[in-house]
Amino acid sequence: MDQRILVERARGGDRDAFAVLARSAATRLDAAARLILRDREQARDAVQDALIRAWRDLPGLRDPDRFDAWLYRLLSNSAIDEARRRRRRVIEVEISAIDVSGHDDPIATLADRDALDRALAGLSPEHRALVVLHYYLGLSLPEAAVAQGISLSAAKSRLHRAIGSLRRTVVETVDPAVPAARGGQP
Amino acid sequence: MNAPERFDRDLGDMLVELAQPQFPDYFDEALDRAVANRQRPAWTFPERWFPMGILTRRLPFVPALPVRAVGMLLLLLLLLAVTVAFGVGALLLQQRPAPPLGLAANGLIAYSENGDIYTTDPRTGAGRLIVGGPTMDVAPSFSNDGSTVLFIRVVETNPQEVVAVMMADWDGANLRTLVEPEVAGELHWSSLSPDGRLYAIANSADGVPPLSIVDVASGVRAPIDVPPKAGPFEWLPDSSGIVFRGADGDPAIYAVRVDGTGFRKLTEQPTQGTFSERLQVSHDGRYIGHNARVAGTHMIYLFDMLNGETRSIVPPADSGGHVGHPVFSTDSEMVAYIRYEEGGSTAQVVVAPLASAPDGAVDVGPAVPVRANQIGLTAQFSPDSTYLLITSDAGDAWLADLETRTYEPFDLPKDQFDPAWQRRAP
Repeated sequence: MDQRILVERARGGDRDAFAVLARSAATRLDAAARLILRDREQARDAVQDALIRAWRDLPGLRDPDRFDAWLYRLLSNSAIDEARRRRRRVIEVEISAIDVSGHDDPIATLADRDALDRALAGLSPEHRALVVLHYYLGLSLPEAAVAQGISLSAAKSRLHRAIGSLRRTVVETVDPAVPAARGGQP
Repeated sequence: MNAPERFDRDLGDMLVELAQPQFPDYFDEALDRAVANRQRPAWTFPERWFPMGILTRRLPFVPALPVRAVGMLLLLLLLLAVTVAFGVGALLLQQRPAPPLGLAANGLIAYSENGDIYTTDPRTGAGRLIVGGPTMDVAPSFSNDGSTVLFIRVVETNPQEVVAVMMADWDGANLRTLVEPEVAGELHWSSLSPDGRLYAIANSADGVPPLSIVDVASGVRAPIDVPPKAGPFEWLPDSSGIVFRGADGDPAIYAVRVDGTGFRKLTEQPTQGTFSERLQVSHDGRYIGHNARVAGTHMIYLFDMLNGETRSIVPPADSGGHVGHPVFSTDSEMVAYIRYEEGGSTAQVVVAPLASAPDGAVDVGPAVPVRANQIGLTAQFSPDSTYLLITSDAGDAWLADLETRTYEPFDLPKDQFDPAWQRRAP
């Protein structure tokens, strides 16, 4: 069924229609939350909170065609709230089980993933959320800026800084012969 | 396409790879909890039923003119007149060009924040937006005479970073494009010559000359024939040419004239390690300083162009520490660099006489913790070589007095980066 019709039905209180919408987005929401929070339990709480907010506030969504971007915005806000709530808690780095099948160079893939995981850990939750909104969930930069409640120029600046940091860490880790733009110390 | 460009292009796929998306096993429980809540009625969202005209309408206002208000207005006008008078005076002082090399008076500090360019006066703390708007502008720098500010405009970040070079008067007026937008490779360096007539731009992106010189007056750009992957680069103080490190694996330092002639080797540096920071050339033209990493240890080499000798600054033996990121004072008397303690856990700025470094080195400013793959601190000398502006990765800034070796926090926004100090006429 057309997503717009589902959104309009859910907006009118149709739980089944909302279930279809939520189910189709669940995998991406969960993965995005894990990327932002780097903790499976926190990600679960963030997705739960985003779904509650989505159901509760759906009648206020004016443009049904913007449902996905709106839902991602709710998830980003929930994830950042979650990170702030539990900032004092020690966060264990989650290393996913590695499935190396189907890759040309499993060692390189493993190194890439490990380097990216550690590089993401060096960013704040707000910066991680922006990277995930733009690069993983596919929001345009203006949409990502709106999702984070910041100006476009602030989003550009944050993203530029975040990507620069990720790039330096990943490229240097995977290929130590490549010098960082600003340098770095081991 | 080089590694960083591949990184930008592949980041989305790498995130998918890292996240390993799968349908969450808690979904049904989460959905049940969500729909167990009551939806907010549509009428509780103001924007759905208040006409925008009501929300945005200004309230009627009838001004009154009591005597007290008129007096306050006159007082404000007087203050405004005084401020303007001081501003005009400051403007006249700012317009005097500084000498292109050596000691100069301390001017404004420019920095980028949230994609805009600001200046702040370190004496008064007065800040000012000089280039704003929706564009993302970063990395400001001043011409050596202090009259012009240059910065990078990031036009696109995805899938590749596309940048232009912009320039404006020191106060942001007369904004114009110096270098049209182009894809920026990982090695992307650009700098105005000390005399302000030429602009050098190095770019490792495919299809772009590795090094080219732009005539500022005409905008004409001419490529310079240097080996691919050469760099980093830096201007010679007399603006006659560029010095640079050879291509990958070549530890020598070369020079070439701005017209592309006179390619020559200056020195064979005693390392097979990597350079990880730009070259530094002292204002008097005598020293070239740079980082090198040898057998996992960061150290500094100082090449003396007068006698052809190379001196090294190394961390204490068996300390497990590192040193790096040298910068020279404008009087060519001092070198500042960063000392990292064992394991790279803390960073500390050190200042030493250039003629004898590392002998005579003293700590200046705070020691700060360093995260992996970060540099921890950066330092730059004030134009008059009496202060050191120190900034940390965390966004903190300090101004250290080199005579008393005291330091205090300097008010720069946490999100700022790339501060640059303007030179003024003494």
